[in-house]
Amino acid sequence: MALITPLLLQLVQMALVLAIAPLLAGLVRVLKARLQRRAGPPLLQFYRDLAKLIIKDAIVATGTSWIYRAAPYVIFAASWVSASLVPSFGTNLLFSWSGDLIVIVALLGTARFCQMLAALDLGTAFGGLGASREAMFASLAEPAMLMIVFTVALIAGSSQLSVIATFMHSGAAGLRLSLGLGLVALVIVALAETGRFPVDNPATHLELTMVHEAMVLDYTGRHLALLDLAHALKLTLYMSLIACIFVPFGMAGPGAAPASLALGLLAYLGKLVLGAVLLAIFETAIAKMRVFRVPNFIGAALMLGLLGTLLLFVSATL
Amino acid sequence: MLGAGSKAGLVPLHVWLPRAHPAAPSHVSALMSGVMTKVAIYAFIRIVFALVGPAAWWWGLVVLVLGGITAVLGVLYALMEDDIKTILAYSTIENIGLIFVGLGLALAFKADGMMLAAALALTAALFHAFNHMLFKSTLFFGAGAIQHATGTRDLAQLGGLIHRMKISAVPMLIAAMAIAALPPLNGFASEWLLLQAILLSPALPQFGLKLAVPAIGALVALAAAFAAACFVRLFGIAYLGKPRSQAAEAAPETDAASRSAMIGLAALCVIAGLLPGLVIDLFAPVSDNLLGVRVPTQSGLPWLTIMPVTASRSSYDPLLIALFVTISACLAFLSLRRFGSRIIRSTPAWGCGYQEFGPQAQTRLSQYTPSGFAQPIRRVFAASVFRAHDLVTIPPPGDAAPARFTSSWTDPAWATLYTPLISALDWTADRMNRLQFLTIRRYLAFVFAALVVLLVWVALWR
Amino acid sequence: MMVNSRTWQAAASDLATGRSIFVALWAEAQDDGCIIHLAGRPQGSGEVRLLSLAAPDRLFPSIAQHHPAASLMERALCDVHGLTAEASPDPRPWLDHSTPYLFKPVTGDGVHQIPVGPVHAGIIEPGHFRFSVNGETIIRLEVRLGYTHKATLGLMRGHMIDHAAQLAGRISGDSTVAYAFAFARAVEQALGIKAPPRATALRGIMAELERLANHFGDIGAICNDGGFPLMNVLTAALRERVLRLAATCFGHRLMMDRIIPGGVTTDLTAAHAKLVLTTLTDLRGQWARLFELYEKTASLQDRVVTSGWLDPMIAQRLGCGGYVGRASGQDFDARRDACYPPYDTLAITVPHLTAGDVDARLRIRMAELEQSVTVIRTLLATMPPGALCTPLPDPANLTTIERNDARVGHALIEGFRGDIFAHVRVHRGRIEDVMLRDPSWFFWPALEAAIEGNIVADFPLCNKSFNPSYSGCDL
Repeated sequence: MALITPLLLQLVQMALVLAIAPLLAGLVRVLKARLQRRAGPPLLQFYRDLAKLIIKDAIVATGTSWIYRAAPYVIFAASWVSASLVPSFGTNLLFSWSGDLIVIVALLGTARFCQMLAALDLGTAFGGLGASREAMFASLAEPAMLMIVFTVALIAGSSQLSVIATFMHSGAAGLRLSLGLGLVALVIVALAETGRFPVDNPATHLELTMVHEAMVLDYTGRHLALLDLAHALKLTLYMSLIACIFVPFGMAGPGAAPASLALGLLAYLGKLVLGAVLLAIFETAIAKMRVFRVPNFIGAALMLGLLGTLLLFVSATL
Repeated sequence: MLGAGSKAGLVPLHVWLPRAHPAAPSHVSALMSGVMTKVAIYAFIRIVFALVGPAAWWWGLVVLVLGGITAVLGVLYALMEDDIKTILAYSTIENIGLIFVGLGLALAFKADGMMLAAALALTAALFHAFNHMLFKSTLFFGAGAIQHATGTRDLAQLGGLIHRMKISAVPMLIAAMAIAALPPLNGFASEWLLLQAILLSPALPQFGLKLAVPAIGALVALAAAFAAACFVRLFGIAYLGKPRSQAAEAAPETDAASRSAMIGLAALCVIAGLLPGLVIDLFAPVSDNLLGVRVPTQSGLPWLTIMPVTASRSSYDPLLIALFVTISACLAFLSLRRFGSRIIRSTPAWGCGYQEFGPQAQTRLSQYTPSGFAQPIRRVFAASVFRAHDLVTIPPPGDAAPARFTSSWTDPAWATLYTPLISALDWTADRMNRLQFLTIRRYLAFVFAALVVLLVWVALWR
Repeated sequence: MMVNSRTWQAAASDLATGRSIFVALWAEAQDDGCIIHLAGRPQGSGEVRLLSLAAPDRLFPSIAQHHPAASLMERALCDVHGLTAEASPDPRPWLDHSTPYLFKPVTGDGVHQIPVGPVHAGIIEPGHFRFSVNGETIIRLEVRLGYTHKATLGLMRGHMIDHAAQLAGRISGDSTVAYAFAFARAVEQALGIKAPPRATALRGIMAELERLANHFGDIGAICNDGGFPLMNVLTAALRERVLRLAATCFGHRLMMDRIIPGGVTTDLTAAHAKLVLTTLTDLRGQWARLFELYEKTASLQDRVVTSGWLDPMIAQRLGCGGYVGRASGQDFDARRDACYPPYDTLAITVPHLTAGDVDARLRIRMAELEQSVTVIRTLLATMPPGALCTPLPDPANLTTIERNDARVGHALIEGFRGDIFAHVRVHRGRIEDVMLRDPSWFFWPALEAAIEGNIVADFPLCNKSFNPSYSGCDL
């Protein structure tokens, strides 16, 4: 009996991220369109696109191997599991102990590895183009993310997300310089990892400027649906992560009553909407970077993360 | 340190390794990379932890810094090479660097009396050494299979091998993912332990270490990310895509014996990855012996989790994670089968409608080359470290001359250390040559002088 | 002027030394072989001179061997007429896609190719781009066109003038006014007639409206390809207002078929003239804010400044006109230098920069917007009354001598891209020979040269800043 409620909450979390990921991605699209004075697609268009893709036949490029067909499932599953391990409405997740933040980051790395392999499996110029750019960006984004993990873990005394969320929620962390550095770094990494401006343009039609889109250029049907969903899940994951570490207000604590759970859920949705608005404004206000400026951008995140960690090594109170 | 470092391939004593390891037949290369370098590590551990007595904290710092630099430079080298076995040899250097980071941490913890943390770092290093033996051997066997099947080790000549070397491609993929430190495989498990050890190090009192360790952590993470890029490149270009040469097009599958060796080793990678607790417990006697402390026993924990320090700090359960991913993937697969289309049709990849050569010939020209794949990383990272430089000459409009591309880089170890050393040696040898023509009396005088100098030195030393 | 082979070669070396600027090269089929025509103009002048060379054995001395700017046109005419250019440095087919195409050579280790097009993901014209690259480093770019080849010039030959005028307006849809203008002026010169003053003023207004619309579109599209879509949607709104204004005033959004040989078809009422003025005042206020946005968005500036640098030397050698040439130090504008009505009475200042990058090409456009508004205002203020069209002489009423006498005319008109050259020979009311040369002929090789030192991901930005016409070269 003691296990049933947490298990239920964990399952709700899994279903929740899957259900709202397309809504979040759709919301960003709509907001961006409005900011650009366009009507934009309907809010639910992402779901319709997924439904359409799922019933369409999958077309696979000739000469590709099983890796090309298996990759969407692995990428989707890894993204979904990672997103389910980030606390959203409540600080405690049943399976949080099965992987800490380092594991979550690395699991996304597994998804990326499969994505790059699938792109190379195509044997086309665009596959290689996307994969080589992704490899360059990731080689800075992953260390930057790890430095952020270090910063947060040293403050909270654990790299376990449930523990971190509880600690942050308790307010014991207070205002810290290192936490501020970590937030800026995390926002940069999140923009890079989710393929948003100024690193990648999710709406571009110019093949030569693509990163993520170039890797999935030849995917169709249900495979593409999985990849699109995985991409949306990644956006949700990073927004939840920022919310749970830096704005943990309203999250339900362990063993919370249904009312506070509902409140936590509302607070979570509110945070996502706020995140979407901020993202849309940011994306509208700036231009995409030159490809070789991006390493400086993500490198700045690495340096900020490193600085945050360094501060904490020197003094636990900074 | 110098001896073990040069044997194991620490930068800047690494220059011999990527030349020697690929030169041997592949199973010997596997042995050299997998086992021989470990002998050096064994010797290092024996000497530093057991024989020398109480260590000073700065030993740990030196080892840490050398290890971190070795890890990043090793894999950067690997990214610039096109020869599979040279790539693997450089990647060995990277892994040796990671192991030395673990050892350096253990030394530092030990010097400060943090025995449990020292045991964790030592275990991480040993675990990684063990893992490296498993996946690097698999990879060298795979490289040998490729060389045997195609007659070349040049990535630029390979491609599409997964269609012809169907079975041996699978252990190769597993090993590539393991060495890229991806969960739920073993390379990640040991790197995770290493990172946990780093997370314990703010408690170290020395300021030098406090400042160095976060930077080393960043270097370890950088090395891991480069390793992922490096092995995407290796596997993706050799096994995936379209063949880049006739030889790659006609490559036969390797023989059953080496296939089963590869599969066996890859299976061990998976097992060690899913059940890291069992392996960690294997190393407990070592740390017990060297440090008098052991990492808490892992195999008794529920769900076979590993939990190096305390539950609230961190835990990792690869088995459960793997299970979740598998279930999610199956769920996706089954629900798509139930609600979506089941049909898969096949057409040539999108070539922007350019039809002239037919899809096959066009993709052969338009596939990324290994050096093209690494170019962004080369430009961003290697430009400063290796003075990597691309030179492009485009003739003016109307000039029929070909456009030229040359790419060059230099090894800083050669440029700043060995080349001056060699010229200094040459110079000294030239001078010494004159000594050969001395009379016996003068020889005796030299011997006597040397003896006197030695005696004086010994006397002063005492 | 018919010349012999030696004079022909001398003219070619004049082009090579830069004493004269290459304008066009085309061929005309005769019963016995072909006649090759070469048009050039003295440096700094808009006065075009023609040389013609008979090629009875379908052979002629290559111009491209002396002057590379002629290479593409030479290859195109060889394909169309089955000619051979002797000692041509590049004898590959251009419009003819029936044989395998060998791209220019590239040497070096690890070089691979990125083929893009002819079908693109965006809504643009079809063309194939072959990049020889190493990762992001571009080693060579080669453009292959011909996908929109419609044999437009061939369709015009032998047809009545009015029909040919319609075709001329369809060579490149975004420049329909400029093409119709150029063709009309060439025909008028051939027939020795003059358009009425009111018609030329209206032509000027239409040409400037077309320039406004296209420059708005280009500025937005460049920013869009630089990864700043906001600018695109804002300028698209401005462009739309210009097009709607054109639809209201002239009955067609692109003002297609409004200019005909002899004059124009549509008058501008006083009410519409007022509408033009108020709309322009309104637009001007809006775009001032947009340019401020452009200049103050640092991330966008970082994309456009120094990207796609075109060496002024190459721009001069290729004879690049329009915003491409003017951004790379070439001080030429047909409105000022060829001095045709209505611009002959106006003081045209030609903005030019020497930076040669994407930013410079964009700023030239911005400066030209200002100038277009001034031109339109002046023309509206001094709009002469009178007829809209001078009737063309009826072939049936011509004297016998006139009837048998084929008459030649040519014109150089500044379209929004640059100078459009038109040449016609009219015989008994029909087009005997015609050439319409788009400025893009020189933009393509310039683009191939400007890409040196840029990376793959910046190509769309560079390409958009040149914005060459595909259709205009696939004649």
